[in-house]
Amino acid sequence: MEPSDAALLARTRRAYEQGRLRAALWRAAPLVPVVAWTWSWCRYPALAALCGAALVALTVAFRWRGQIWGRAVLPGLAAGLAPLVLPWLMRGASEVCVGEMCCSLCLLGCVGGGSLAGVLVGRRAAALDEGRGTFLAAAGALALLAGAPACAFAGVIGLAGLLIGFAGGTAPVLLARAPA
Amino acid sequence: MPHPDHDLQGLLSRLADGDRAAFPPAFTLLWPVTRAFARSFLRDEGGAEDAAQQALVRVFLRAAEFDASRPALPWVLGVVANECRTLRRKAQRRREGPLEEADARPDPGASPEESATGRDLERAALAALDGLPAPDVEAILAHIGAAGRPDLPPATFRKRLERALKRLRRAWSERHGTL
Repeated sequence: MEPSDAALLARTRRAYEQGRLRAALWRAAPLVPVVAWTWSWCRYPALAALCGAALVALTVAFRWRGQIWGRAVLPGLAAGLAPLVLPWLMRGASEVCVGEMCCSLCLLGCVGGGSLAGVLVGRRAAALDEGRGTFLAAAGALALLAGAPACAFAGVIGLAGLLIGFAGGTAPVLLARAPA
Repeated sequence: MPHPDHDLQGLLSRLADGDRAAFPPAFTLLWPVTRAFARSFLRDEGGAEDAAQQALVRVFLRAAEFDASRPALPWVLGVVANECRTLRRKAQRRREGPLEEADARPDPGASPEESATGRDLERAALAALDGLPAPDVEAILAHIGAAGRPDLPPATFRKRLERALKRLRRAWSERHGTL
């Protein structure tokens, strides 16, 4: 390869990375109004801002990195809608009691939304031949970050419910599809 | 039968997906094609080299946007042709300069009407090529010397070219009602 070709190779490589970053930023832009909307009603605005910033940054990073990471973005964000919307809809509802045990509907929304997100992400991950762990980590991080501001209505226990629900939704799907 | 790794469609799809390992073979494959196309488009050895370099940078800048369901070669050549046209317009503007500096010598090149007609024809030809399958575009470009000849026996290449030209004529007459 001639020196001029080597310089062109470096220039085109830079252009390729720039182009990927630009495309990633462009595709993550619609998240900004969603994050602002979440921040406007979250019980802990600082937490919503932190989760929102992390969500946008990870979306850009995964899109820029591409391959399994990039392919995990849409399923992760779509799965994150469940734990974002369910607790938000149930935030004003009172407690539901079974016998002497009472639990807030919002907390149930967190666990239910987390489980649904876990099942959705787990099913997509289980269908992959390789890179399941990467896909699960990337899509799971996005889904949890999307749902966290809504689950904060129920406090720390809501966030814990989201995590437990997600783990509970993912595990059976992955175990069922795991190679013998 | 080309190896899948060396297939432009496959390489650009991998680049769009973020597979960096596809970068060196894609560069090796695209640089000669881009250079040959810029030379035939601009017909100016010095300017064509700069244009080809800028066009190649542009191709990689937009590689993340490549839609794998569309044929790769027409997409690449469309980007290169756009870049060449832009550079040619810029060079033309530089040559024309401010009115007070213009001297009375007539332009030895084509008249403005001829240039405009040429540009229209180029645009129309690229649009017609854009709708053809990738092997057809490859055969036509090899025939006019804008790309390397595919590794095919001469008789096969002749047949493919014949088919490609027939499809190009059909595409042209559907768009423009002539030929």
